[in-house]
Amino acid sequence: MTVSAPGDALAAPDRPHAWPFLIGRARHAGHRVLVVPDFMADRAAVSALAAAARTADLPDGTARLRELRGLANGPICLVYRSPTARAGDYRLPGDGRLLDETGRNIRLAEGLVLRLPASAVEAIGIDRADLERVHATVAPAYRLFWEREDGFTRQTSRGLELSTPVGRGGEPIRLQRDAPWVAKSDSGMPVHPRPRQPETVAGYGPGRQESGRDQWPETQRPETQWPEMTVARPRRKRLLFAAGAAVAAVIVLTVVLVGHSRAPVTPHALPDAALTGFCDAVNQGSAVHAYGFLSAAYRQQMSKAVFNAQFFPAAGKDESKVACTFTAPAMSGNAADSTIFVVSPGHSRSTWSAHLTEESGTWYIGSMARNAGGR
Amino acid sequence: MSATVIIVIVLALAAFGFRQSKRAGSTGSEPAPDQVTLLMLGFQGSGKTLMLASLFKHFRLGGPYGITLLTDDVSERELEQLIDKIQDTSNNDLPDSTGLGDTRAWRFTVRVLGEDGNTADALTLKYLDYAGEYAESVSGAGTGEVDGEFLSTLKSADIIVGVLDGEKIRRLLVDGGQGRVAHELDRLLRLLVRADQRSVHLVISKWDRLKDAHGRPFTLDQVVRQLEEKSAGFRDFRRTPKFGRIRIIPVSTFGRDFIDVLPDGSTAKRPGAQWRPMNIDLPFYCTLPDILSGDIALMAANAKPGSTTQTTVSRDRLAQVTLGALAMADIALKISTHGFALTVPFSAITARVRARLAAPQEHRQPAVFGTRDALGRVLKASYSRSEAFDKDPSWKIHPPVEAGQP
Repeated sequence: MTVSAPGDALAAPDRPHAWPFLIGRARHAGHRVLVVPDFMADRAAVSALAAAARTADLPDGTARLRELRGLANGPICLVYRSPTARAGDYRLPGDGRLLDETGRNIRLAEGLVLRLPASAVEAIGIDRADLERVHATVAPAYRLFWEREDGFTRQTSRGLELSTPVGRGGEPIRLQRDAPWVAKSDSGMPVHPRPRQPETVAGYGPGRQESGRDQWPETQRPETQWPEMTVARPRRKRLLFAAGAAVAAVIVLTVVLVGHSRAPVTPHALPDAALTGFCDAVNQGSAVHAYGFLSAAYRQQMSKAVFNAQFFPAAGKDESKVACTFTAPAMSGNAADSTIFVVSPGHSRSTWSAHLTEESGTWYIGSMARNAGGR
Repeated sequence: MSATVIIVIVLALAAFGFRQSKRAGSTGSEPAPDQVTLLMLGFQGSGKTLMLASLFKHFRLGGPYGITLLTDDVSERELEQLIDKIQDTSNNDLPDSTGLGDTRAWRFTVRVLGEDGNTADALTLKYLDYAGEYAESVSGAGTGEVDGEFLSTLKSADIIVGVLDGEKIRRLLVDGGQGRVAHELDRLLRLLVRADQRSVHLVISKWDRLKDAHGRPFTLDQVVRQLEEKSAGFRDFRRTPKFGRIRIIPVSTFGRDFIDVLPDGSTAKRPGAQWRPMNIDLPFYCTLPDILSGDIALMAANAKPGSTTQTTVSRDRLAQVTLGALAMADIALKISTHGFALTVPFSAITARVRARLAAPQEHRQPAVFGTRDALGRVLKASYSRSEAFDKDPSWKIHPPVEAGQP
């Protein structure tokens, strides 16, 4: 069903046109788009209209202006108000505000859709009479929705001719501009039109035979094509990021390799890291590396041979299956204690109480005592 | 040889960095660090906006745990106005229903107020307020309008709380013959089953209205038993293995004796009544322990064969909150090319975290109340509050349901 404004007529091409819309709810039936411009009857455009028309608390004589970008229909602007629904405004029985089933006020979104960018709409200006005409156009639809609730079928609107500045005697409406609503692609990225705008306020006549499709008569087709839509891709950013990662990797590798050639142990700022490094070395069968995690003082007490015999009893055999784990260290000032478990299949499990100490910001195993009861 | 190795590693890192940034660029809405998203999934009129206001009110002044929610000045002002509107009993004004164009992501910094005037921010909480009609559309009802931000949050939320409208539940239990309510319940539960999240709970809103035909308040046990009798869908949902144990939390945004429901369904505030929301904080306190246990389960499910500490899950799949909890409990994490290894078995992580939370704070130098401490406080409060609810006899459900039980 298509709603028409009183006094609709084919317009001269130089007069701007606008399409009424209405969003609202009834007592039980939830919010929905009740009246939609005929060229926006597809699902995506209906959802866009619903999402863009956010509730606006505005003083009298003011309407919200919001541009919609990224739609297939081209740049669209909404000019609307968010009235609290009152029975008398829609010729419904009763008095006062209409309430939903939980007793809440019902706010509507009632206004115009123009196929223009916001700057052009501001240049045209909207009159109070235009909005009153919108209300007269959509009010019957709301009344029907209130009565039928979920049985109501969405209606489409045809373009109506806006009053021109010359012909206006009424009160201009102040337009309060909202941030643009931007359609998002499936990837979540905004859909950016190329920055081309119509140079003139085109007179878009009704001339369309079918709702939901942009059927411009050839004689009235604007010279400016609708902007193409492109999806922003931060390709350059990705290349820069990758290049940065590569350079950083080269630097880190250089530092590690140079450092490794001078000292067997990389300094560890936390006891966890020292224990992790120690166990990794044991698990990999690297006795020399593991020995390097002992403090200098402890290395004086425990020779490499003794250390190897304790932790690498299967030297030359299947060392790779040694499993070293440890408990999280309990901190106490600049010392920490942990328990180290060393297990190798076919050999005894040994448990060690390890005491770690910090020396100039680096943690080492300062002593280890084997616990009784290993298998 | 070593030059070849270096070149291969550099190329691999470059490719990895390229892939990571491509992934970051493709979503268009990466979560901020340490952000937790809580989605209250409910249909129109179920109370989502009121829960937002109640939640903010609850955490306004810190309370015994010293946890407060901070937001930007504009949002703060709007929320204060919302609170003023609700608690003003000189009129019956309540917030309007959320319109289709009013989807809004509220972002709060969860700040902990420590001793001696110290404060630290633990994490960011995102709460999406939206028209329930969008949830109905996704469930297959309604008129088909869709909202991208709602869909995106439905996919990415850390925890989803299904909101069962208490007033409709009451009608189902007391008035009977409410086929529409039962169907609506099934549709909501179906949304939860379809969701990817493992952390799901149920809230019964408007709990203050759940009274039998004689005006006696229902117990939670009674409500759950009767729902299972009247709704096969609800019964099946409670036994779905996917979720493990589902909490059912009665919530009243108004609390007792604040609102009267009139015969026509509208509400009237009692003059001079005090607004005391009930259990409104629980969905928030369930969030962090659930995120942690969910990530532990993820790690364990992807454990390397024969290992209880190594997993093939990549570190960036873990929530920042989980990483923070591991660090707080001094559980080291060693990253490899195919996942990472922890210094404790997966099964011991929760115990370790909780032991750490329970231990007296050690004196380290310097003593600084930082983000890790704040996160620890919030975690501690979360465990404490959620366990207090679980143990409260007034919220006990008989018998408790184990996932997978017939």
